[in-house]
Amino acid sequence: MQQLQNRQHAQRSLSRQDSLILASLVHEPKHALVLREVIEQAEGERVEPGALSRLVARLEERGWIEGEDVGRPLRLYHLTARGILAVQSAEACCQREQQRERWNPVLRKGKEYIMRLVIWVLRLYPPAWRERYEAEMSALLEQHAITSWTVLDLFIGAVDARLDPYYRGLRHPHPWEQLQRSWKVIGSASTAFGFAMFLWFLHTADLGIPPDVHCSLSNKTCPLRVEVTLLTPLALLVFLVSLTGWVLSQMQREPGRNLLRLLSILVLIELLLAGMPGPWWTLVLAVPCVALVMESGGALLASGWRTVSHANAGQRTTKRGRVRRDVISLVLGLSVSQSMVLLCIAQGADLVAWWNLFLQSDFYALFLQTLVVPFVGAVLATLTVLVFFVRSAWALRAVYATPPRQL
Amino acid sequence: MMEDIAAFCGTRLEPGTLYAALARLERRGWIEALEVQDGRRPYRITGAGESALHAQIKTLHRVVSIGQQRLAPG
Repeated sequence: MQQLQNRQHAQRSLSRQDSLILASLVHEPKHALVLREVIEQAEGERVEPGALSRLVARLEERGWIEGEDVGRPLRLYHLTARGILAVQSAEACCQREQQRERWNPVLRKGKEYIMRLVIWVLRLYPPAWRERYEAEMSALLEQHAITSWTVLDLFIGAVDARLDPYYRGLRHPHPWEQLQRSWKVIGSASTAFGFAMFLWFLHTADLGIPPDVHCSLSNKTCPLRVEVTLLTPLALLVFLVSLTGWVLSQMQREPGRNLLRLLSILVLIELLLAGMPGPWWTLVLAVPCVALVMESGGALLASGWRTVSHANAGQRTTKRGRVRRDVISLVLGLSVSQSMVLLCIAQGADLVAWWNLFLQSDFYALFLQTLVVPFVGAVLATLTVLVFFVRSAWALRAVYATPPRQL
Repeated sequence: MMEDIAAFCGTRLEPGTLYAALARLERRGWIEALEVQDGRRPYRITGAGESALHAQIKTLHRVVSIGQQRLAPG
């Protein structure tokens, strides 16, 4: 057992230069100068005498090679029995790896996916950090044996860099980038708001709440038609978490795939809604309609960004056209945010009106789940839209203030 | 660099840990990046880095010698 552990340790700690030295000593003993030439030929770079002596000393220390004095200034090195074992086990390990690579396309595919995951984790690093280190780190990762610990280590590194005040102080994106991000967040938050409103109206209809409530609720009986379960807040939670992830990923990626990403979110919503009680086909039909409206709104909102993007790519439209589109975007953003504020106020007023009614019944918890959760979601989405609308207006001002050559 | 560290201290650093350390050292001015060669970017220790390393080794020597004195029998 101990021998096996030693062998595994040997495989793990055998560097490329170690392997080269051991492999070159398999057939005959060699002097240090010859070993140096072997490494230099294989690596294509000069090996300093100090580095070579450290390598040789380490291999001697492990008992893999032995030096003998043969009456000349340079010692002659040869493999020991342990060294032969180390070479054999390294060769066997290498062959196993090659066979696995050759015969298992699933594994190869899996490695591609892992590499994609690693590239995705790299995107979690701050922009300033990525600008400086991403290229060389990607090159290193392509040659590195990636394990789950590598991914976790990268994730911890990303969190560490994000929390570093130095990188936080470097966050000064270009106004155009700020504008682009703001439009995306506004579009996403509007979608979330649309979903929250959809749930709100769905549940008020399900609960059968009339505009003027005359029914009195007893402790035991309730005239309300209740068909909603715990799935509703759960669905909203999953939706909001997914949407947040989507927004964060949008901020990091290249533009141009908004519709595709939105469609994937919609599929998720549909799946969630399909698991809910009630006339599911109504929901399945209603959700794409709501989503289509929201996507159109998002596309209109993003028109300002597209104009600036074209200007950046050298396909500059006329200044008049740019101004017109940006003004439309601003007006749309303003009207959307104001409508959301008004809807939230109306929802809040309804909640206050129904609050005392539900306090008297056993359906208090249900009331919280079915109406308060969509209300809170709508309020959060509205606040997000308001904040990012102000930011987008500020960024737009900065974009026009920046000389065109810097765009 | 990763292989060298693994060779002399037996710890194989992961890229995340290595680059976190490199970024910190570079920011403190203790190492500097050279031009990319064959897709790899070499790093070099600076004068300030050497001074810091000397100071650190001096401290470690002191810790080792005091530890050995205190652990010595009698």
